[in-house]
Amino acid sequence: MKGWSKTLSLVTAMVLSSACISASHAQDDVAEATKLQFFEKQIRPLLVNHCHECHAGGEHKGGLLLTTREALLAGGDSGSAVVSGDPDASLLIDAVRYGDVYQMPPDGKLPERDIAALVQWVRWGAPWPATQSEEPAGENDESAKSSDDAWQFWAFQSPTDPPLPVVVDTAWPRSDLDRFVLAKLEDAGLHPAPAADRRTLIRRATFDLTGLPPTPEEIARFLADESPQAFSCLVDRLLASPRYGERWGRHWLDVARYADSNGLDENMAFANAYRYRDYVIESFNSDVPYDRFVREQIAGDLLPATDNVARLRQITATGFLSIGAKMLAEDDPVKMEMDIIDEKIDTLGRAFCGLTLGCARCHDHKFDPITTAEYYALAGIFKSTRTMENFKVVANWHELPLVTDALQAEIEAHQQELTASRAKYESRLNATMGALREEIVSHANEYLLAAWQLAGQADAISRLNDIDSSLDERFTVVEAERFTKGNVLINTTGYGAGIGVILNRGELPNVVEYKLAVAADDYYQLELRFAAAESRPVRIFVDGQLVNALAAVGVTGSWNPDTQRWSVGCVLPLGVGQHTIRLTRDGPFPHFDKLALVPVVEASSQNALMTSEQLAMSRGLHASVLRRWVETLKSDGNDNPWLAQLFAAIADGSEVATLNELAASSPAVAALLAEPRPRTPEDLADRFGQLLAEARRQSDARLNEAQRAIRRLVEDESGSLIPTSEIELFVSAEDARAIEALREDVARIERAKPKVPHAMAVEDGEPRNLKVNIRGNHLILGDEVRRGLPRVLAGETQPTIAPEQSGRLELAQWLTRADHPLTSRVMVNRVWRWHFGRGLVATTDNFGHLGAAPSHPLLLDWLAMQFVKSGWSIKDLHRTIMLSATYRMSSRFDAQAAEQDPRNTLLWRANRKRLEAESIRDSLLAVSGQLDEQMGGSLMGFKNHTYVTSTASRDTIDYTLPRRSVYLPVIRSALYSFYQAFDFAEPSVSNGNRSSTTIAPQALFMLNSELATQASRELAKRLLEEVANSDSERIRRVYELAYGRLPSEVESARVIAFLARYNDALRDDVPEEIERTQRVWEGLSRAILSTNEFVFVD
Amino acid sequence: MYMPKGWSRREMLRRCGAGFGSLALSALLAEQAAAETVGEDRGDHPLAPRAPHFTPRARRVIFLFMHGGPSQVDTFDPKPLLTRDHGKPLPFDKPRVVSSETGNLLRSPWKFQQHGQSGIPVSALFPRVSECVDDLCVINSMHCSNSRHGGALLELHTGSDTFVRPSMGSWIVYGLGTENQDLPGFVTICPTLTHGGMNNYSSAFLPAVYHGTPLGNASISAKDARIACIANKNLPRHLQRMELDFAQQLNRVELERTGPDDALESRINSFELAFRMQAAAPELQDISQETAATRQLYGVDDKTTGNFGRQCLMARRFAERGVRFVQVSHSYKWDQHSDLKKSHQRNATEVDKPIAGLLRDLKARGLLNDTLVLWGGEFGRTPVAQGNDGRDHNPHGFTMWMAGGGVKPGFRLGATDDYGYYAVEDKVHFHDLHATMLHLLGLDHLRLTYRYAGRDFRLTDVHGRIIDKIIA
Repeated sequence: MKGWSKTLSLVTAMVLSSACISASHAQDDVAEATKLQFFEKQIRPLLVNHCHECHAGGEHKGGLLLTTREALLAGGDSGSAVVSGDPDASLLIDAVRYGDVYQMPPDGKLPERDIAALVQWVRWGAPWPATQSEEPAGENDESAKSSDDAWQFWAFQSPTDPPLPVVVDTAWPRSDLDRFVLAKLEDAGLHPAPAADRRTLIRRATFDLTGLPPTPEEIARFLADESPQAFSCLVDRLLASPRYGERWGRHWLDVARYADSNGLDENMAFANAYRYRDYVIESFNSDVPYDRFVREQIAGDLLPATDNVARLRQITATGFLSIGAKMLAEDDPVKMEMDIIDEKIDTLGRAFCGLTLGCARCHDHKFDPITTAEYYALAGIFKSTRTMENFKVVANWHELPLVTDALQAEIEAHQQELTASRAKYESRLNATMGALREEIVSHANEYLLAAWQLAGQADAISRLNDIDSSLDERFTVVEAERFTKGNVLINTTGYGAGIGVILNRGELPNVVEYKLAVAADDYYQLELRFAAAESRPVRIFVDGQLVNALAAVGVTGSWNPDTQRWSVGCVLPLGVGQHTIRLTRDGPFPHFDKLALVPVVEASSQNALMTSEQLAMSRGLHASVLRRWVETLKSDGNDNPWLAQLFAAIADGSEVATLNELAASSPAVAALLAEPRPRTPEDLADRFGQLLAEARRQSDARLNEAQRAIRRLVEDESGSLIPTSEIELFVSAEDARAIEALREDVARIERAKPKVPHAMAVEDGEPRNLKVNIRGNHLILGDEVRRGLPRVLAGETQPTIAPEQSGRLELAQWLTRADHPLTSRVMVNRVWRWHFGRGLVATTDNFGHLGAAPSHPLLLDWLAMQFVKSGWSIKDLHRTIMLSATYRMSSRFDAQAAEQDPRNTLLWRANRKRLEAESIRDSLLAVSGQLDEQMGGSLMGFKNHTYVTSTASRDTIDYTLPRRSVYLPVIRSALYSFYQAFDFAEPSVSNGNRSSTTIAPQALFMLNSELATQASRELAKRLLEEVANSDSERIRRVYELAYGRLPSEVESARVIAFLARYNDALRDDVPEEIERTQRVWEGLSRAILSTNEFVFVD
Repeated sequence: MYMPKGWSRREMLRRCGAGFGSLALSALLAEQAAAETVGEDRGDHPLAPRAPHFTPRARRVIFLFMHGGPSQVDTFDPKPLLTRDHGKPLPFDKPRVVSSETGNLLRSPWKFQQHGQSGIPVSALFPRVSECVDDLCVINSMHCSNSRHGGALLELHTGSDTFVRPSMGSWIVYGLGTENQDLPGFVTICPTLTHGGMNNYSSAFLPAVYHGTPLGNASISAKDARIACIANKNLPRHLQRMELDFAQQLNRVELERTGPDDALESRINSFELAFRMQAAAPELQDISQETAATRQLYGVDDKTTGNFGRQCLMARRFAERGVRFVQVSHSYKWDQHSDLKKSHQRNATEVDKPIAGLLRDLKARGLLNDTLVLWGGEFGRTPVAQGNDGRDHNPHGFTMWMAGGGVKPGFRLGATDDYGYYAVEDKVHFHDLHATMLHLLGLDHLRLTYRYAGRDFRLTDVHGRIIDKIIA
């Protein structure tokens, strides 16, 4: 067997799938499906392996074909091969049994098992799956090629050096290339057109290589160069121009279906796609050998790199695999992934090989030798390649950091600076903390006393939770969103009916301020209504005074409105008038709904409702520290709050006996109650302070038990009374400022972290084989297929892919073999197409059976061979083509040739080509003197992964910058309207063969667009400024700028007449002459820029 | 490959007595230049009207697109069991792939009532459309394959949620050409730029001449929606004409120099056409000539119905002038994951009167017979609740309706299950809808093909059944 054969597992799988589908309908179908499955598993392989060599394809020995059931029943020369249901009467069975008439297969009898299978199958009536009804549209008219034919196809044979054709007119060819062209013309009895004049030639070459018109100065230089190398020098100059990469890079970007957004659905910004674009431009400019260019785009990350610069360049190159159109909002993640893989395979096939590999996703390729199994073998390579971060809705794609050596050094320097600044900050902080600790210890008595007072009073309780519905008029309630100052987001619509809240907008610290009026002097509870899924304590300042550093500290359960509840922020006396309430938090706020001031009417003892803040303030203590002392004193969690008991006993004036009893309970209490025995809580607190001071002076080893207990109470890590956070609340303003400044330094340095650019790029992921998706359906799976390359890409033998690798590297290497039948041919044909407007193979992206046959097959092979020999140099290829006589022909019309070869397939003249969208725009900018030649970078103005076309449908991209068109963003599904009108390649599909249509919107654009208007205005200005006072000189100038030639006298006279007419028509409306002159020349400019000659190149 | 016969350019030139003046009369909107790709050359004037495959029932389409996905169980598909079992769990499985978490059954807040001779039920959301119910052909059994807006929009408009494919309007104009050579053949008024955006009206690989022409976009009010570059504010018409005459003179001189060249000639024509379009389009958009009664009929002057009313009125004016496919979009409003009650009510109020107005007006003018009106969104909504006042996307069963253009009036096809989740009877996929639309236009969806990248493509890909039951 030659070539490929159908992969049986796939077919089996297809049958299995139909079995699955049928199963739900009827029992009979199941049986039928089983029979078909049997056929696929047992019978078809037999027929293929043992019979088809002589009874399939072109071969049908004895007139017998064994490729369809019909053929089998019809039989061959000896009559029907199979009698349905009757094995013994079937010639086929007789033959495999090595009966009297035939003994088949001739090279040896089949095993009994196989013969039995055939017998069984015939007994069942020789069931054979019918696939005809499932044929895709329009493919019925083409018969599928047999496998052998498929492999014989020219495009799958490696090119060989063709003999140079013999030509009659030996004077015409300038190069071997011309002999191939001329030989064909001579065969057809046609003659090449005469050479183009030099002005035509420089215009053609300049547009071809740079996409821009030649300047009058360039033309003059070329005309003045009379050496035989003049044109060759011109080509070299153009190839060396950076404009070359912009032009030819853009050609490649069509093939790479380059765009700056994902298109299709939610349309997110590919803000880093442009790096791939710049890579392409740069690669063309530096003439990266094409084979390397291909390898870099498929497996740049896996190729060895000479240095880090090369490594980053190669990573960026793999953007080719990543920038495709994707449906990022697809609820089925498996489908999303398979679609993304498919998009890659389809693009890869078209771009590098001119093959429609994507067809094999659902069925064996109808015309080219690519099986579905091979498709999934290839798909496995991309399944093992990481392109996406996730497959969520909306999904995110994978990107890789681009860290240059310089950037790495910068990152390291930054890290050092950060470490140093942190160390400085921490050491200052620790020093301050130490001092603070000492200070607290030295005031231990005061803290203890105050804590004792506070511990005895009830906590303030929110009054609003119970009486929310009947708010007292004395209550001042304000909606959180009605703040007078603040930096938070107000949400009144999305949160819940009737609830407006404030949320973090992203700017920290969160701050809001309210002005609340108080009608009567009183004590008030400030209450806050909020919801919080996590604790987010805020600080409350009233009239500039911090009154609570830990308000709204609680967790209500969620962020949802149903958990909103009131809590007391603080209790404080307020006088009549306006008060400023300020809430701040370094991090995001909880979700505040309302604030309220509620008079504390039942406060019999105002003192009893003193908050820790108030008490601390009045005694010069730290409120937060004080709160901890309160907790320690209460020791609710502790079994034995002995200190509190002791205070209670002293305060109650307990009996001596009771106190003695207490003193016996522990050495610490004994020490505290030692004579002179404390009489009041103040005494007790002082005693505690003395003992603590003594205990801290003592070394650990020499502590007695009482001292140890007292020290533990204060210093124990878990119950530490020393604050560790919000340190600036406890220290002097000076210290706070110093610490704050150091912390600011740290934050500033953190913010100055060097930005790491990222590229849309791929890398190897977990290596995985795929199962065949039956008929492309990811829910119906067939056999697993090992990762591998389709034979059409890799040939008969292919490298084995190591289990731990994706196989991308192998794919890249095998595609760029010197003798690969497609890679070199496809590319030289692309280059030919972009020069001549039509490929030697007209279907540049399809070299398969349904593609067009090459018009000059030998020339195609010759070019491919030259290309590979030159080291895959694209610039050499340009020289080979452009220095030929073929390229330099004029576009002269020849009626006889036109009759005979209307499409100029044989190249009897140069093709007249309309400029592509980018060249039209760039030319408008260039001739009007506006073109900005700055290269590279992004003009997107969108953050990565944000919506480019929002649901509000606003088109916000600015296309008016006078940069070259190649740098304008390409937004899928919302393409720049100019591009839309002028046949820009659909950026979701690989396309090396843009069409060139003529539609009215193009004319509307030239007549009315801002771009055309601006160009006319600027061109007029330029003419009036550059050429003083001579209309005829100006006319010469505009002709040379726009058309690359000078006007004839007749033409000049026509223009002058037009200018006069236009001037007359304007006279009444524009009496001012200078302005009128500008308008007249503007009118002429617009007319000139609208003409065919401006947008067509001969 | 389908290729209706047209005159060749040369032949036409001969018949017209040659000369460029008469060439302009041929009124070609656009032309494909020297065909570059094999098998794609279909003659010289790709927009000339061409004969359909068989006698058509409809000559044009107006598609009223409800972007976001209107709820079937709140509009045209009443479900008594849904009302009865409100708050209970769905008694069968939800789909494998869903777009959001949903809860239990949610009854419709709107009452349904049977209307007209046909007795087709319509909810209280569409009081005026319900008066036209005897003209409607309601399909309750629509389904599609994608549960997200982007995918479903593309599927609805192009038949594919995976590839960039020509939109239905493009296919139709490709198949039939257009009747008015001063206007585009396929117009879309205020289309969305998101969810596939332009791809929903693009010609993809069909020649650019079949690309839909947008008037504004969804962020622009119908009043201000214009064809791109249709006017030049800074240049009076007579001066523009003078410039154009001069440019055309230069073009003709050049043509004499070059010898015959189709591409150059086409471009000369395209400028003449563009110049005429500049006059034709504003005239068409100027509705000041419409009577007060007509304006009232469409609700053009009402704040709520004004915008969509104007779109519908423009659609009629386009249809009248021979535009083949007109789409009007009620843009991205119907996506009620929450706030169903208020927002569906508002949406329906915005479109109810204009739609009824359009149907009555078309009928009165005798246009409804051969104009196919299509109403619907990219999918429907779940009968189960999302939150407590919302419904999730539901591509598995929903309603679209047609009117005029050869469909059975006062007819109801197919059904969803008892709760309105899945289409179960006479299921109609978008592919089937496309096949049927083409059929009504006289086109065989199997034969309307275009060869691209080595394969013949169809609007219906490898799918599509004609829904015989709805054809009158």
